Amino acid sequence: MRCEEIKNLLSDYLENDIDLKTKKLMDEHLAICANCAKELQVLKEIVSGLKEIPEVEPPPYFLEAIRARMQEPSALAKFLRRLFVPFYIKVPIQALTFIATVIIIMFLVQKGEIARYGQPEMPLSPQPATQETYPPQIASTEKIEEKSKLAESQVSEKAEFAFAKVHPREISSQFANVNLQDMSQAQSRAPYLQSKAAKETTFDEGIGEAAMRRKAETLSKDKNVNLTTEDFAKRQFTEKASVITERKITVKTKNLEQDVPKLNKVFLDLGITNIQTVNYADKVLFNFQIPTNKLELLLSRLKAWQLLSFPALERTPEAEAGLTSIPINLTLTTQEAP
Amino acid sequence: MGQIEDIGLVERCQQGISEAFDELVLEYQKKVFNVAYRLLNNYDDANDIAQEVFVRAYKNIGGFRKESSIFTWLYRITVNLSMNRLKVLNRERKRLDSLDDPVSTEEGEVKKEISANDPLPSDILVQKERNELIQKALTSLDDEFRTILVLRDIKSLSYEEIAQILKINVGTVKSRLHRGRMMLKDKLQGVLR
Repeated sequence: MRCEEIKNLLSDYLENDIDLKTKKLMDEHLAICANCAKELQVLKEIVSGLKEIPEVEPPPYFLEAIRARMQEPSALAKFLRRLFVPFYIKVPIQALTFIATVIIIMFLVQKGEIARYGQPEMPLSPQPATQETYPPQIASTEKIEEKSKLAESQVSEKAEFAFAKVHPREISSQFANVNLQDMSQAQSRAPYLQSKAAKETTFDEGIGEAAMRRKAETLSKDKNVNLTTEDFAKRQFTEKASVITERKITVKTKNLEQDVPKLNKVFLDLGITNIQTVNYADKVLFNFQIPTNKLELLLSRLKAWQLLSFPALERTPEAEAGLTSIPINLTLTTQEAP
Repeated sequence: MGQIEDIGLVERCQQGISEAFDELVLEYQKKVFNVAYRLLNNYDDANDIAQEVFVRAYKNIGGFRKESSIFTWLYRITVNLSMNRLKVLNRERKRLDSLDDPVSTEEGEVKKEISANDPLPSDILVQKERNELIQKALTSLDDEFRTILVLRDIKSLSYEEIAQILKINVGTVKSRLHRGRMMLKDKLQGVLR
């Protein structure tokens, strides 16, 4: 046999996967050919080396991680959430939403309201200079416009819906412009609209919240009411706060009265203090800060209940930003949908 | 765990008994994790893939027909998911740094090799270094050869089991195994002896 043939059979020879006759021929060749014998030796060493590679242990809580993953929302929902969570995507999306919202409002105001009320409103007071303060966001928007297109269309839908919610109030406040006596009423209503819109968006997955806040501003702009400095300061504060994503957990309960003390016990056990509680007929909201490393523990304690929504544990933006605690917005609800 | 026990376990999983699924995870987590780890050569990626394997298994176990054993089925999901991940990683890596890209030195460009020219005589190679070198060389192989070597030489599966997992015939398993081993030998020859 020639060396080339031998080399082609070395692997089978190691596996003992050759007939006796071939094996005998190979043995004869290997006995006299140092080169082929060395090839076989190296191959043997490699194969035994592969077999000797030690096994690694999966991390602790591997099973728990799988269970948590199985409860996660669908891949699409996960994808969409990922799309919205990183700030470098979220902020431009919000900026885009703002632009889209302005366009929609302008369109609706022109098409809908002019038709309904006959003529556009006349300005009563000059615009404050502080109202347009978003040029950096708009600039960055252009750069990642491509990336954000898909998300934009979805956010726009949401914005439209939110607009519909705020819209009736706006229409009612229109009458304030009819006579000057009611003008003060419109003035007091505009900040209310703004804060109302901000409140509503809090429960709206955080998507487009800045946009909706801005919508309220636009509404007050439409009403030609000056924002007070206090309002403006408040707005700036909310914008800063929105930089840290609130984590939403929705817990389903059958018995609200019974489960609120149970939840409080969980908070107590985890050493969570400073909890802001808001009671509603069918739900209770808890707002608090939790150390990032305790989030997993909290979720495991909440397993006693049905979780309608909860944050992904891995690679939270908070952890990436090096923050030690996460603001949590926990809803205990008797309703089915989160 | 034997074949008979496996079947009972699979049936209980298919009936939606969550304890049975936990049992399945605990039984196979190490095997699945290690296959993923050897294919991906990264602990975090392996963890992610291994978790995904069981999530997929949980979702699809209803459609599992007992034509193959459960571990062959789990290994198939592991290999497929790992290969998909590798494609993504390779695309990323290609952009950043290719293993075969020439390295610029003062004497011009030289081709990168896996430590083949390093002055490391085999007698001073401690076991850990040796394992690392083998894993590194293994990682540098094409996916199809690496998979075969992991399943055969590391996990000691039979030709038939590998053929089932990869949905190829036994002849292809043998020829890929031979070629994979020879490639690995070429990469490691200067290092191991």
